[in-house]
Amino acid sequence: MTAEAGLADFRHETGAFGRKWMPETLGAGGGFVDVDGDGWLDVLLVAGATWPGHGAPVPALELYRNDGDGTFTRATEQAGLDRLAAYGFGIAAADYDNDGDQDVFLTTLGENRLLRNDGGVFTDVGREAGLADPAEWSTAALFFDADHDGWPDLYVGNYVPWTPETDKWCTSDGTTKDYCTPHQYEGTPGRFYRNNGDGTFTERTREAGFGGSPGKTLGVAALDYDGNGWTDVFVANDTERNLLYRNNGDGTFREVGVAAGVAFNENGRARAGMGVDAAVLDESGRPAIAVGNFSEEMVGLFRYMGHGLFRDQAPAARIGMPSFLSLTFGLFFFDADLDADLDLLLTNGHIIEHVERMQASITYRQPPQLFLNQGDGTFDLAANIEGGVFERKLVGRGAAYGDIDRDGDLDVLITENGGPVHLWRNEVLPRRQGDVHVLRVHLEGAPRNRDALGARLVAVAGGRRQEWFVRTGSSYLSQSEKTATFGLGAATRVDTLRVYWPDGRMEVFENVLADQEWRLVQGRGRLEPMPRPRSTRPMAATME
Amino acid sequence: MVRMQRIGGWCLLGALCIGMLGVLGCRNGPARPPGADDPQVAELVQRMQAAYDQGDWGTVLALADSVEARAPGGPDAPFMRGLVLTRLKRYDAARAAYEQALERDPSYRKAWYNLGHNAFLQRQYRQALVAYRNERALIERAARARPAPGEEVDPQALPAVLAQIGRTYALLGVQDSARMAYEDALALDSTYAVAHAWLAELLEDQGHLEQALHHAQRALEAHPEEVEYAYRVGFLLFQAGRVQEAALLLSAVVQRWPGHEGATYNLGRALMALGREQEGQALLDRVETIQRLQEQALMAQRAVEVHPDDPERWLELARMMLRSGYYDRAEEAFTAALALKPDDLALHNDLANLALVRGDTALALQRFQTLLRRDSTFADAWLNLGIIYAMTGQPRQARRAWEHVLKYRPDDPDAAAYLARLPQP
Repeated sequence: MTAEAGLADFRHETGAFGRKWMPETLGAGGGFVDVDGDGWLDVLLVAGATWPGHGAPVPALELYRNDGDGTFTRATEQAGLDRLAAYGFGIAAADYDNDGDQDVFLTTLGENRLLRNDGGVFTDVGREAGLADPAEWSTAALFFDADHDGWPDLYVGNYVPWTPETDKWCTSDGTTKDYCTPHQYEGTPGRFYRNNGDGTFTERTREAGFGGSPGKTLGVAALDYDGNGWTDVFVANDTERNLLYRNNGDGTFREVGVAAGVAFNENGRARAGMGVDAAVLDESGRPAIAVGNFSEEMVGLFRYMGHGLFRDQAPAARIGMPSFLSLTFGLFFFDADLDADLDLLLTNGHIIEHVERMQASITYRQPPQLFLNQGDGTFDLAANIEGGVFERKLVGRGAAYGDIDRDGDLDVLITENGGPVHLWRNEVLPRRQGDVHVLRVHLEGAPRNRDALGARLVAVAGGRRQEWFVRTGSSYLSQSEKTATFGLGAATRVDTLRVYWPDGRMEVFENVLADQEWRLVQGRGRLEPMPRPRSTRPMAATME
Repeated sequence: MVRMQRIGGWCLLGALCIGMLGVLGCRNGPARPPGADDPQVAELVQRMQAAYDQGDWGTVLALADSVEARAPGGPDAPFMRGLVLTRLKRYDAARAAYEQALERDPSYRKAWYNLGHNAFLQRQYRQALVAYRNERALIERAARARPAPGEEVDPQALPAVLAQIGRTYALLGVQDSARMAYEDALALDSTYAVAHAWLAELLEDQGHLEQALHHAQRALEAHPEEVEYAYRVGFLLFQAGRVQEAALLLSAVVQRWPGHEGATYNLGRALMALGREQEGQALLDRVETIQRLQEQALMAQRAVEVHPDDPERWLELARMMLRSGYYDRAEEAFTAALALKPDDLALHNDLANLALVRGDTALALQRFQTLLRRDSTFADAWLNLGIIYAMTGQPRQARRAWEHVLKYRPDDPDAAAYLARLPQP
């Protein structure tokens, strides 16, 4: 529905002009953010950039407002984003100042930007907030409340110390310049910024235990793998070991990736980690971490086994071989078919345009993949419908989910490098209305942490237990909605819904009606129905 | 973001397949090629094969020219030239050489196979598959034709081709065909370790741990000396939760190959699981250092692919492989450097040293002696030759060798120290 939704004019700009500069390969993210707070998810896209002296400048971000009727209207100027120039990569959205709206952090090749939202209009306050310096190549970012003070802190993943001046001459044939790979550069370590609660941040990388990381980060995810109520951080690195920062329970961290078994593949080798997501996939309550990797490196699916240990079970889960030839960037867990367990979507696309010439089995454009959870620890690659979205070959990069039409199921946004954006409406509910049911819960923390980052929801319906962790980050440089969506299958109500707030309080609700979107404000003790959609109009069928 | 091919350790085995097919049976098809009845040509061909066996690729190329001059139009010279060019990563030239061999004798065995392998190494898997299939057809036809004595089909040939077909299918993501090809190979030779090992890897990737373990064990039974097979069994045992058994096997692998990243990593994890946390953690801490070496090796590998004619790049690769413990690959790289720079005595010395590092004292001895026949003043070679003599209980010869060192390098502290340690005559 990209064209009819009004997103067809968007095109990501790599700035490529023949010099083969490394940033041109990574693409950018995008996602769903309710910028104007009207209850409808807007689409925010990182638009890339032109290089100085090589083309007219483009806005770093493009905003498309959701009209509530299946269409979007470009609103970049109205949001004050038209003059924001930067070679951008990723976004993370959260209400960092707890004023009730969604602010946006944009990672770039230079100074990062913090876009404070005031009534749907953004102002770049990165420098004042202490997040702009140092100018380095940042990629994935994550807002999370590391120390439970109610003010979202920020982890920023960095890649390599590339600049036009430090560009190296790389080649695959000895004569022509090609894009360099991260092997040719040392990594730039990530940074952690503590939110001071007054609109500013202070870098506390070393003090908080994030120092000494290898860098080359392309994905970050928040999770609470040990269930101690404190948010841990997983960092996916490209050709370097992945990192798992365990929260010590006081806002400081210890890196335990190697010992936990998530740093390498099962043969002890670092892979090229890209996007990442973490979620509970079954009734065990234990999370799994999925990491997109390079072609000929299957997706990693690290399942938590307890006692601080993970094990990569991608082959046993039947995700391994089908993802072996794909170069996976964006990925996320979501219940695509609302059958009460989380499925996995992969966005794929290579970085080398002529890869087919070099390697017969790999293509530059690659189709996305949807793995449907079979509920027994395995996944099945969804069969595609001819001409359907999973048959389209893309230079896929970012990926996000959100319920743009507020029909209850989760729609998908995919970005391409140097290409268009794709918006796919999920048709599960229109087609199977009455057969499958859904519960959506939007949490609002109080008095602070308005996004309820780090809250955990556990829903039991029809004898099945599901869990959701409220988070930013995940996938590849992209922002998905933060509302919890529980597919219920045939169950028409949730028997119990438990909400574990980050401050340790817990609320329980019984017999919650399905097919509703509820709002829960911390401390009010009641679920409130979200306002119903204003209007809908038929949209093209694409996803199921 | 292009990284070391997943074929990783198995790639080595793939490379061995080239050798096996290329060298053991460089025989012609039914047609008699030019020079077939010329004893001098036959002798040259034999010498060419012997030189290839010894890793003397420069000589192979020179002898190929001689064969061509003596009996133009025969397939042996271009075929052997192709083998060397493949190893020197001059893939286009190698392809042309194999094609020339096939033009001259369309039924020339192993040319299709090596043409396929040449494509395989360039990741041109579909082209590789076509060539492997042609080799298979050739072998099957030859087997049906009741060959004359001395021209029988090598019973290992067809399983090797089938296994390689399976491997290619696996890398193309066509798992069913890969499995079928491996099983066909095993139907012909149930002890064929390569097919067992690759099938094990396929089954492991598909999540069938028990079956994978069975085949990995069969591969190890066939070749208990193969460290990569031992690793795979240890790894699968660990995956299957048989931690104690895994730790034993992985420990043996790490002892034999301290730079084996997979064994180091999984032994570390296994020891942690067994409660031997300090030992386990020490191994896990080592993994990153090994990774750094791997990264450097990968960069050196890439440099060689881009500049296959530069002996210095090969030398750098050889050193990286040596430091990482990949002795086969180090040998390959040293040999390539030597083919490009045949008069470099330091390279001869490196190769002899490598044999020593690998524990092959006989080969090391032979290489040092050959080197010293070329230049009897090469002090490093005398020094190392002395070490071999001392190691093998020949103090008199050791003394003489080290005295030679002092003759050409009077201040050499090592030679003096070694001599001082020798018992007086």
